[in-house]
Amino acid sequence: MSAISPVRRNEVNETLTCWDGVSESSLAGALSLRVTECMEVALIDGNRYNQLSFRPRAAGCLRLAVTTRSAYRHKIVRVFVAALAMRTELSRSLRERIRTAVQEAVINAMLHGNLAMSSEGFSGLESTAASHEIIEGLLTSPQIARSLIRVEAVWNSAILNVLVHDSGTGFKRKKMPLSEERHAATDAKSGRGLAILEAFCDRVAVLRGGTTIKLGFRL
Amino acid sequence: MRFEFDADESKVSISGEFTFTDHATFKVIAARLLDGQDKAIVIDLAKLEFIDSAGLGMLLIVRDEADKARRSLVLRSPCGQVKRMFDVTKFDTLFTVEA
Repeated sequence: MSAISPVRRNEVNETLTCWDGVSESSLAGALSLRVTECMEVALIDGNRYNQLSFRPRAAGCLRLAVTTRSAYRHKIVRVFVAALAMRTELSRSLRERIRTAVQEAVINAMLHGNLAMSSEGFSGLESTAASHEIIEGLLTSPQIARSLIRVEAVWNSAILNVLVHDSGTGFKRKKMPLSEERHAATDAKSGRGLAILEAFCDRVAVLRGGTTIKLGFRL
Repeated sequence: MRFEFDADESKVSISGEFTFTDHATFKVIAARLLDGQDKAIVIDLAKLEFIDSAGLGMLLIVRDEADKARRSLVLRSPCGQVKRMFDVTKFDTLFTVEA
């Protein structure tokens, strides 16, 4: 069974499910229509559960908490955005923009946030293969493998915001490329994420010292 | 991501999605392409529906490896989200892109 039976919680009738972390199809099942929040089973212990904070209700919301290991192994953003599209009307174009931007944000959260990997390791065939071996090694540590990535979508009739939180140490704004650097054509094998976010979102904000990114889309 | 090679191993059509998660599959594709002998390597993107920045980076890596072997890389028929990613990142200035 992919999803643990839904549990009703609190007075606003939210429904929480759990994902087994096995596959994208089991995640799709765990994000079935009446669910408002889904958490990977590996994250369920008192400590990690308490790390989640909840926001005042909007017209709609959907939250997903996954481990770094699952963000590395599965296309979780594809499933998450498909679940969003079942809950609020999204044009094909908007759905594509959300998918593209959230994909960049989640990969950044996993790679640079929770795994603390730099982009330089992905500049050639050999170095990329070596970097993935390093990641596999890091994921043998339960603490790293189970570190949290949270994706939270909140929307009303006018705007949809998607927040992506990681468990890293954040980054300094001074380290971010300048706008003209982000938008220049470059041979670099990485570092295009911010330019892509700015092109595909109506608003981008970096919060909490760089551990959260907020992506805004007009509906 | 799925892929299909031509008989001469210098042209491949990739389909589905090409993201960070697909690195192992793309490593196989790159090795076969770079083992070929034709002057031009062609990656047909007509059936590719989605790419992220990691996928773009992997295409650049193949281009660099082809350069080292004095071969060229042609990206053919990007469309939809893939075309829009190429536009945003000005990829057409970094590659030979054929419609």
